[in-house]
Amino acid sequence: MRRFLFLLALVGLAGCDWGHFHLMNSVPFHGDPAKNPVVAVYLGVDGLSHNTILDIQKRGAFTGEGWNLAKFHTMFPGTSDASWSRILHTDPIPGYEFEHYDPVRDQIENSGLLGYLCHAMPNLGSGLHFDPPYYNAFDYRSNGYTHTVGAYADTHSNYSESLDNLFTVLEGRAETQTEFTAYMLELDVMGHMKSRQEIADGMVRLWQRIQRFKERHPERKFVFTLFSDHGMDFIPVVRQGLVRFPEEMKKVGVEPVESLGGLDAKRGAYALTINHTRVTYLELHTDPRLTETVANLVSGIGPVDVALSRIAPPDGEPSGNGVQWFALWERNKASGTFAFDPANDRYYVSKDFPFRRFGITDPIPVREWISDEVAFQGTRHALYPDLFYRVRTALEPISVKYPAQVVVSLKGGFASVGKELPGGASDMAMSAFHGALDAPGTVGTLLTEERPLPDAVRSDNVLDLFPRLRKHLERRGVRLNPGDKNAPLNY
Amino acid sequence: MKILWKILPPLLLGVTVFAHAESDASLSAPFPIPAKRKAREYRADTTGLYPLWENTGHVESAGDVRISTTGVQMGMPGVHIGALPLPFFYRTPNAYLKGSLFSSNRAALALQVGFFHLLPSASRSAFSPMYPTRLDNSDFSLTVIPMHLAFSWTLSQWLEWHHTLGAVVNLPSGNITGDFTPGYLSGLELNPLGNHALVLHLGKVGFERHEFFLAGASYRFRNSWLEARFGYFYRFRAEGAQAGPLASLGFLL
Repeated sequence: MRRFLFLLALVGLAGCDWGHFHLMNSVPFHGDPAKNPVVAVYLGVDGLSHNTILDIQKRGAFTGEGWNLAKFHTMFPGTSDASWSRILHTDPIPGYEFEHYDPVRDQIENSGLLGYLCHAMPNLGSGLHFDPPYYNAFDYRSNGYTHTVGAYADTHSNYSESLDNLFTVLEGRAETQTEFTAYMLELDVMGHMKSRQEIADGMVRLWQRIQRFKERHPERKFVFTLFSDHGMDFIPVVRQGLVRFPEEMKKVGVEPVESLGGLDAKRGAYALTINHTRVTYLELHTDPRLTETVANLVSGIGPVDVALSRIAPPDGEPSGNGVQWFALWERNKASGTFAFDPANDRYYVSKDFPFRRFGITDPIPVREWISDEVAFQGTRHALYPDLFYRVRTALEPISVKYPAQVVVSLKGGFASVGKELPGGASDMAMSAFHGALDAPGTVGTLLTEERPLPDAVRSDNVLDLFPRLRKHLERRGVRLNPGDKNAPLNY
Repeated sequence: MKILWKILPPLLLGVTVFAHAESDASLSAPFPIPAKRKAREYRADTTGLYPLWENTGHVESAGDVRISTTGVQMGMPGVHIGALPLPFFYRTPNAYLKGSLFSSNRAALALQVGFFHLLPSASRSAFSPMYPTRLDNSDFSLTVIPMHLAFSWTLSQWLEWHHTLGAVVNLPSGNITGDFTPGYLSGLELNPLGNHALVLHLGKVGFERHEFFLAGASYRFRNSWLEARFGYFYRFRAEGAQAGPLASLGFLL
């Protein structure tokens, strides 16, 4: 009976909101264009890779006078909720994924199929949702209760519905607002489940809608900016490439565990891993004394490209004054190490760092302190872009409260199996991935008509580059966090 | 085309009223209504389902009370007063007065005037953020005055045709300029006298300056004390279509 009443209450709430939705969208109103002659439109496009834009620019879209494009170096691991929170400086989420390890309670939260299905649960109101706080940054974020389910079940028609709603809402909001923010989910889904061509076609449609909208509304100038939360590798994975990481950990001597309390670090390596969505990274939580051991051991797992962790300062190298050391582990050894001095925002790269292995061709001095600026400039076009900053901040509580001790990046052609849905749904979402440390899944898009751009931008800096966006988020009541204090760059 | 939209709705309404008057005069008596469907047993629809733009020509009889999500209404001789209850929870106090201009066994003509006062942030007060709104009045209030001239014509036992020629006046507020926007909405109600009815809705808002076309369908259940409706509506604007369900529940006292 209680359950029935609860369901009835939910249906009642839904019914009330439907009436409100129709009423608010049926009020005819107009503003004075002289009061807001220029409207800045910010579109957060999930999973829009830099390569996709290069593809469609060949078709004449998003190119020409006024459009500026930059590589948008997003955080590692490249996962949507954590990355949008980082980009928009909204309140941190507990872990990289909805399912996460809570060290305070020493347990995995939101696990199992139910936790996975929470992604599809619509926000029914305060206290009745699982939305991360960054959604509040967007004026438009969904076309109805079934938006998320629709995006996966029927991506193309849902995309059409979203475009219709987005531009309808924009047309109304532009009557009174000087800035407008919107979030678009479907192109990310197309990447995972469809093909590169379909994303490109979807982006061309967006371009055409933008052009048509501008032509229909000459009374105001609309200035568009698009940005994304990660790239997309477009490397399909076959079923054999789906990695069941706990099983792989056992093979290399790391015991997979469900909690960390009461375990003896002296009796062997163990780690807790989160296996939530189908991505190309994995996080490992362990006893701090085991961090280096675990990172070393898991780096020997075949599909692992690189594992990263903090390490103790090597003998004879700088230490003290808050200096932190990090290692990139490959095939059971620390192949590259570097230090960070937070007080002075500078990096120190060890002598034998394998620059060529990580696609860094610009010369970077070793065994001397270099500024974050120099580190960024030297790695911004590398195969592993903005490497030092992204490795360091992957392990820090910036947009996630509980970062892991070890984060593993997988090789192309491999992906964490994630939650397997019953009914043969295991072959879903096998076309393209993100999450890994290298460029294909990392380099998103920053595309704007608002201002000139450098050729590459760190995603954490977007609010500095677009003060109107920051102001709009503040006006929307979004609580903005400072983020990493050493993130800003002098573009 | 614009001229057509200027003259078509009033023309349609006028022709319908005239046609009704002619047919009413030619009939010595209205068509027979089965005993169990006496008007008193199944009260006529006095509200539309779609907010702001839809209405009917019927008015609550004196002493009748309707407590419905489409209107809490109290009947008095020749008029009823009422308010939409749910918008009160969404920071939108409102009220209206509806008066009967003409009523017969087969037709009814009524005039309704009301107001909605959208307090600051009314547009953001939905329980869920899943449905987007064109209007964001987070820092200003807005007063909207809807007016309806509504005519309902029962063409047969199985068909009633509702016309609403409406207009919405916005008072200037914030960045919003004062506006007068006319609209027309037609509702074809199949089986209007029975328990179960299907209603087809079609309309246009904004004649000279197009706002949107409206199309929808709804089911209505009614007995002597209950009225429930569920429908799905599309608004077609130049920038695209928005769609969503609508539901209502009412008690007839």
